[in-house]
Amino acid sequence: MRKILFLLFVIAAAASAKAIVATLDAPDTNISGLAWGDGSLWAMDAVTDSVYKLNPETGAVISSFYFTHPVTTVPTGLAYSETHNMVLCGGWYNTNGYVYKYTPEGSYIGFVDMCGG
Amino acid sequence: MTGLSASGNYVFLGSRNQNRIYYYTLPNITTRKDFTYMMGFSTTCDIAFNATDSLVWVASENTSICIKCYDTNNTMVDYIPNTMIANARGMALDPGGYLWVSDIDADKIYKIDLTEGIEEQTQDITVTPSSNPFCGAVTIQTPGLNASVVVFDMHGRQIVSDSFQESWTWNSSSPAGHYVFVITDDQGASTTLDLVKI
Repeated sequence: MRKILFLLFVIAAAASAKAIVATLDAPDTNISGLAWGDGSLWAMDAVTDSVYKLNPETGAVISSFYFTHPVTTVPTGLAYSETHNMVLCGGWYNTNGYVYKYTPEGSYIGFVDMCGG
Repeated sequence: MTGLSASGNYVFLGSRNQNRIYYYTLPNITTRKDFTYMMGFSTTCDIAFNATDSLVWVASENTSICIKCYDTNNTMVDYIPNTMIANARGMALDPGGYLWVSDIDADKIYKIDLTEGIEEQTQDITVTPSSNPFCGAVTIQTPGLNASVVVFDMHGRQIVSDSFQESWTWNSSSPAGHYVFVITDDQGASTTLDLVKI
């Protein structure tokens, strides 16, 4: 019982302490994925299919590339693997999910069908 | 599958259809393992993995709490209400522990300090419960205010949400236990109550 009370107290206290410390203008109007890598913030747009490398201090676009995927797939979810030096772009269509792999420069590597996973 | 986050030799994947977080081995994305179940959350979007504490932050189209944080025991351990971020989608954690969130209503990307600071966009409001602990029903009062309330159980599941003027009574058949009440007034100020039903 005490553990539960403590957990709820921690949740409430933590939630009230958060603060927005910086605000950037998004490079597009439907940013559905963010990632951190190579000292930069990365953003992916669900409508324009663009992946942006951003200066995290200013929001300025350093570089960008297009995320090519089937028309029915909605871009959502972005990851950057520092270990393997690749950008992972998520694509979602109904019950199916796909991960598309790119180099940070935007060269397509391949994709994996996640079977909804 | 709507969320991705990478850490070391793993990529974490948020499944919107299954309400689960899995992780796979990189670079070929093989060998699926369970990370957590997102109890009480749905319509999930991007995710951000916190390797230091083995937690995952999840964005959602939920209209009251847009971001929740889960541990590996399927338990919500933290959250960010919509009063701070209106419509969260993209999520990332930087090496300094700051959470980055995109808001598609404002077309902004926010950097959030999860550990310190004074809130910029929310403030507490005065909310008084009729009793705590309570038996059967409880009434919360917000004198002079129109407000909304969302109630969560200890697993982070949303039990009820409602709008009210100055006073709201919860007469629920929910079992005894601990409940978190998030009350937000029409100016966006909010506060949280931890009430016990006996």
